[in-house]
Amino acid sequence: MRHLAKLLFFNTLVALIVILISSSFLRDPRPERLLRSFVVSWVYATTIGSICWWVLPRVAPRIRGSALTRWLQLLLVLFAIGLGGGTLAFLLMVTQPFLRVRLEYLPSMAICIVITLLIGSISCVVEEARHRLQASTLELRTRELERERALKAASDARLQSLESRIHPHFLFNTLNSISSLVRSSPEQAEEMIERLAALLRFSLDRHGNMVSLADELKITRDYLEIEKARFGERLRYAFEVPEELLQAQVPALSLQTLAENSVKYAVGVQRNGAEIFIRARAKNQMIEFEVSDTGPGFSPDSLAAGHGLDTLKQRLDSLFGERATLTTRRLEPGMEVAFRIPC
Amino acid sequence: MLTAYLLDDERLAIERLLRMLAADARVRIVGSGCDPEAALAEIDSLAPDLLFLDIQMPEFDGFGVLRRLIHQPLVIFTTAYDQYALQAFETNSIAYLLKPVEATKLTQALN
Repeated sequence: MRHLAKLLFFNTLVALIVILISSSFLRDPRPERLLRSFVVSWVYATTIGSICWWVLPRVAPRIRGSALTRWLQLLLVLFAIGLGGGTLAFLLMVTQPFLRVRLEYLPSMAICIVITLLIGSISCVVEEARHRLQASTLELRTRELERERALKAASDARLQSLESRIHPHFLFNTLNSISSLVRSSPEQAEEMIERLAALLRFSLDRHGNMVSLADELKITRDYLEIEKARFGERLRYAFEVPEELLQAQVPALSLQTLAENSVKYAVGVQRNGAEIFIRARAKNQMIEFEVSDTGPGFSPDSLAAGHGLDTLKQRLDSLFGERATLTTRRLEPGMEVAFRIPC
Repeated sequence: MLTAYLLDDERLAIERLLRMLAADARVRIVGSGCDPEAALAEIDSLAPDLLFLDIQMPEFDGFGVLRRLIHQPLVIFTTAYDQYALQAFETNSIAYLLKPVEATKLTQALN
């Protein structure tokens, strides 16, 4: 309905313009002559305009090729519409019985074709510009949407990776310890907050990077001290790392992950807790890390995907490929997890 | 006045609960323990009305403690894990408090 009204309005406008232009050539612009010319113009405009309105949107998108050939084809189509529509309107006018008109075919057709070509090409240019604008707006919006989606995915991944590093339960238990210490031993509470902050910051900033062994040992010690506040004498640990290895590069949170593994599967499940022993040594252009404990051990097959050890293995794989290895071994008593990376 | 016993494998968690409960006149603490195994006999002999119970503990967990007790007190679970809430519902527990325990939640539970 709206389209039809628009079409009618547009056709009438064209007829009016044609009348205004042609009336300036008339020597005798009497009102009834003007009205008659307007009716004739209107019939022509409506006939040709309607055909254009129906044909152009269906034909224009199929016209392909270079700009020049496209224009030539479009002008040809407009020419045909002008001639065909004009002839139709002419036949309509000369056969109708209501209005007495005197029309000559060839001059009428000339006017029809010129006006069709003119208005047709103008509207095509306008339409094309409008389409292009719409398309580019759409593209812009799509691109923005994609960007937003990518950003969200990235922050989700970051949060997920943080969650896989810092377990919510660890966080809640630590907060519980701090809220207990804050009155009985404020200094110890403060120290624990510092260690927790260091661990959180390290997980956020360095995760996925390589860090010096000195930094990794510091963060592992921070982690173990936090757990020691919870478990007390049940958690005992020792490091054995030669000084010349302190500047070697290791995957961030690799030793911390293994220490956490031992806390979970050895210290946490035994009434008397367990000892954790962390050792590093250079061996044939490789560095070997061993984290052993005196716990009951675990079966590596029983570990769920996404578990700390599983994630560490994947990280080693992607960082070093076949040059890195991660192995688990049962001790009597206890469990040892070892990994070797090139140095 | 309710008598209460506290069982949690973390000493700091017990200290905090003790401090929080000391302010509540409705509860009198009769004992506390860090070792579930040793606490069993103590709870049975003291027969408290109320047991504050951690879930994740070495050897056997909070549910294991309840299964082995002869005396069955009312239970308030205190844990950092929320995934045991459904299972806790099946015991004679009156509340499930998440660590760190909030003072208002503790008061609500005692009400």
